[in-house]
Amino acid sequence: MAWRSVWGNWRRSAITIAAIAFAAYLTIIFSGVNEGTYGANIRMTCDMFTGYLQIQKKGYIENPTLIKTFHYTKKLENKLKSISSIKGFTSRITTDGLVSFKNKTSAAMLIGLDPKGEKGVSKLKDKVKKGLFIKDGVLYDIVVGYKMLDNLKASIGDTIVILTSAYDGTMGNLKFRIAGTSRLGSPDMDAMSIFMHIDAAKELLVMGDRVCAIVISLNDLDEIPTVKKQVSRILPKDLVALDWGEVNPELRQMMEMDSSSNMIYYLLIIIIISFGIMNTVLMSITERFRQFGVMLAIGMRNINLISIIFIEMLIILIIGLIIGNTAGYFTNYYLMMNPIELGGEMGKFYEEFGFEPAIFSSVVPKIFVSTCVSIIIISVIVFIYPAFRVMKLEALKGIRYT
Amino acid sequence: MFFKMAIRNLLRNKRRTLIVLSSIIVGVAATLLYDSINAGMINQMLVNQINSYYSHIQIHKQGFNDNKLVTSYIPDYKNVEEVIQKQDYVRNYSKRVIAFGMLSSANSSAGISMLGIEPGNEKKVSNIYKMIIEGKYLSGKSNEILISKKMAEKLEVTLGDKVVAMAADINGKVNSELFRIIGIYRSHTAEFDKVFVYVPIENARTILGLGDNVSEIAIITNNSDSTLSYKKQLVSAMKNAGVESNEVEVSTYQELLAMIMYLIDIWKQTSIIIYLIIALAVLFGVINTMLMSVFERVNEIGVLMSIGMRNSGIFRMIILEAFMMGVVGTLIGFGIGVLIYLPLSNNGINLGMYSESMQTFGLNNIIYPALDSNVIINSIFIMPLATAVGAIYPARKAMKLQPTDAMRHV
Amino acid sequence: MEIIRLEKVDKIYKDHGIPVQALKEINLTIDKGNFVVIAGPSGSGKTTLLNIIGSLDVPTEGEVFLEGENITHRKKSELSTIRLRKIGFIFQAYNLLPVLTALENIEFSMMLLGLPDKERHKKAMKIMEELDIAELANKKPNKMSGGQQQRVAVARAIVNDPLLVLADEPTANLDSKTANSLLDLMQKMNEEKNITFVFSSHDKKVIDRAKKLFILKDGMIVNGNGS
Repeated sequence: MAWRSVWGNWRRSAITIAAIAFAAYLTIIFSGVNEGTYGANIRMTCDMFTGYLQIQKKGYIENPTLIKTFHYTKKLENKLKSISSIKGFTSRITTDGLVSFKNKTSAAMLIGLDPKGEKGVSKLKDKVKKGLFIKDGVLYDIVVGYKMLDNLKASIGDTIVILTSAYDGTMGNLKFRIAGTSRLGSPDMDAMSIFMHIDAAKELLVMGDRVCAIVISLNDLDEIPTVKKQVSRILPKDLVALDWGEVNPELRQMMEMDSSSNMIYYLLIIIIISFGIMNTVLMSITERFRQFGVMLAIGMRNINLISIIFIEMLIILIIGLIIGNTAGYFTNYYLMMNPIELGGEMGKFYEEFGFEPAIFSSVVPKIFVSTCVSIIIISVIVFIYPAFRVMKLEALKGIRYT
Repeated sequence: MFFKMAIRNLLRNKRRTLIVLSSIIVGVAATLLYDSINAGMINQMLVNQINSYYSHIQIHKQGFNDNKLVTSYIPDYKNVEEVIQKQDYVRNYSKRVIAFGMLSSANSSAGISMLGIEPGNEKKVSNIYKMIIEGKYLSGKSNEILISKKMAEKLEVTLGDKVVAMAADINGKVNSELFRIIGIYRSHTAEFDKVFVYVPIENARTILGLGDNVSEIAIITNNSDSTLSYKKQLVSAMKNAGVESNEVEVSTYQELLAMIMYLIDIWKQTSIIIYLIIALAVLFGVINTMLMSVFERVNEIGVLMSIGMRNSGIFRMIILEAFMMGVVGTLIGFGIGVLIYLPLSNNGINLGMYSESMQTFGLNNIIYPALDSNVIINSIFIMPLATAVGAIYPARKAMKLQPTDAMRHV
Repeated sequence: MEIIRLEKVDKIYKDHGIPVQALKEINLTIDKGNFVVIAGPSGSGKTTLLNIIGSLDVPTEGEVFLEGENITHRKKSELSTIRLRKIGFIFQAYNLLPVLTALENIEFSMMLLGLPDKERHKKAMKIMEELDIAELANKKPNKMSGGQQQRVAVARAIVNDPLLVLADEPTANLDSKTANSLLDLMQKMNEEKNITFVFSSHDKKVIDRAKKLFILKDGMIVNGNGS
């Protein structure tokens, strides 16, 4: 009977269904893009450079100085090797310095890498556009950000001097040969980064076997919490395991801010659509008050009437949600497979913050589930008033209703 | 009389009208508030950057913006300065020397952007002196340095400590100078704090071997909206004084902060889209309600047709009813939105939980929503239009009724 | 002088997909000043015929002439204007717009014509006084009795000095006293203002007052010729 009432006023039901489908569709698309881009960018940042987890000395992240470095022992290395979920790990040294070539000087960010270890952890090697990456055996080769070449008016093959303050407080300087240039996509890094062999860094900075951080790569973002616990257990008291969010709080907060602001929009749309749902339900019951009155007179109970209109609302909800979800799924899937490239200014803006200039989407179940659940919950809330009116209906009042 | 009729017709089914009206009110109020928060954020981003360093207009040697070399100091700056002094729209200006270098303490070192400033004039073009959290601003005495809290933590130094600043001069030789920390600042922008240090302009000139020259002149004008026209005036005034545009570049903050200007653009576009989406959501309710209303009045529509009202008149009548709902809802929604906005714009909204991210964008933790023309226009015009559009389908149905069918509907 | 002429008018309409012939080979002429009644049992097509005379409906076959001009194939918007200026309608029920007062209902068509406020008001009040319903001016239809509503309907129909007033079973919902009073009124208007009235009714009270009677059965006029 509920079914027939729904189709009795098919235009009204159809419009309401369309509204629900619209709200669901929009929410799913935006959540999908949010989720997808979020995930893609995190993954990209982690894979490219930050790693999924990092081991650092306590306090280093707040104040990254050479003082807060630690000994990278064989024991630690072996313990890390024993954790199976770790895809790869490598050590790094990072500090600031000055680089000069002939009479040009530029500020630089020095990053000491272990080429073998890096392979299993980051994609830095792929970002070398010209020339060669760092290798074992060629200790004093470096890879600089491509913009730096312009700034120094240098070319690949030239020898430059790097000046920096070492661990023991002295000024260290060494000559290095530019073996290649990198393009990471971040204007800052492309102008200031210098990648060198970690042993060269140790020499320049008089660090012995100390490192700034151990960068760990995993197979999946989801594994982070578990592996983090595992790693923390094996660490000595003065070292901590940090996830990418702690290493890069700006990134994580930026995404959270974006997510929450989007969520507000979704809720707004859903709330507005729910007004429409309430109207539809109310209209459909007031039209039938006479009919309901008769049914009550015959002996039906109010609760049964409420169940009937509840089922009607459910039918409309379900059809609307199915349409919205299906359309949303296909759109998200398509976007996921074919991300939209962002060109021009937009693209540059994304790159400035270190993001891939493209829009990704995602089809993780969470999106669909949360959309449907929120729409259903709000609809149920909105149902309370009409239900209340039916609850209070008395047979004669209904029959006499005009 | 048509207005009277429209209103009375809407009041016939108060509950239905009220529900649609509520959805419009919620839509308008919410988007107004939200948009004003976004506007406030972007505004603040811009203002913070202008006040902390960029000012309204900056003057450099041509090419400096692309490659900030020590050797790119302003040619014949005294001439330029004279021109500037003669411009009536220039409120204040200040000269600066800029170089990249390193700052070292006993325990560590950091890359820096060294800003040699004239403390008195600098106060008039930027607000860094307000950002001091420990110690004092530069007094003009030699070898004083002002660094950020972040820098102090990185170098593990405090007020009174000595640090060494090092940079390569115009000949490529690396010079260094000892400074005493007399003040520690904290600005709203993380990137700024990471590298900017302030020293007296004379010290910077000495380290860099610049003699009397300057790298940059920062100007604050009378009206931040007219910077583009001021630039034109300045360029032609300089040309008349013999300074060619291929020697000296004049940059407005809009050009220097292209990223933020771009953000503003994007925000304007997205906010229209958001309004449209919300309007679409409201639209569904409007279609349904007007449709029901038309079907209930089929009989009356027949009478109207028999009296001699044209179909187009009937069409317009339905649209008018919906439009009025849109207008009333928008006005009320706008009113409510503004009421909520007022205390918020006074006290601000605390987004402290996102403080690191806010710093990346150059924002304070407390955001003050701003009602600018964009926000207002969007919220007032889009919704009534949407309701009118929503009524088109029902109005067409009304229009297409045959008078005879309409009346048989008793 | 001839006001209405129908020539060989047929009307077929679809009732849930099944074609129904409402009118068949109707030929009739109505002269100015006449008080005509179209009588017949329910379902005989009276309302349909009235609608066609009043340009609310178009015949499937045949021609309709108003004041000698063929209005059969005119555009809807033109017909609306014709109705506005020249024809008045009174229905069995639901004549008035429920959201307007009696005065506003009467002023409505004048407003469509573009008459200025004051003139509208004057004419409306005048007609209300003539029909003795002035005290209903600010009442809405739901506060009036059936008879009162019909009187207001008459006022609205004639306020613009139409050529012709068509009344479809106007007395059907009224008790005999009220009905007679209404018919008296309409006769008075017919005589004083020379307005042609055409009724459709199966009410004896109405039929008895007819100056001219057409009897309609199964869509055809059965009392001889149509004039």
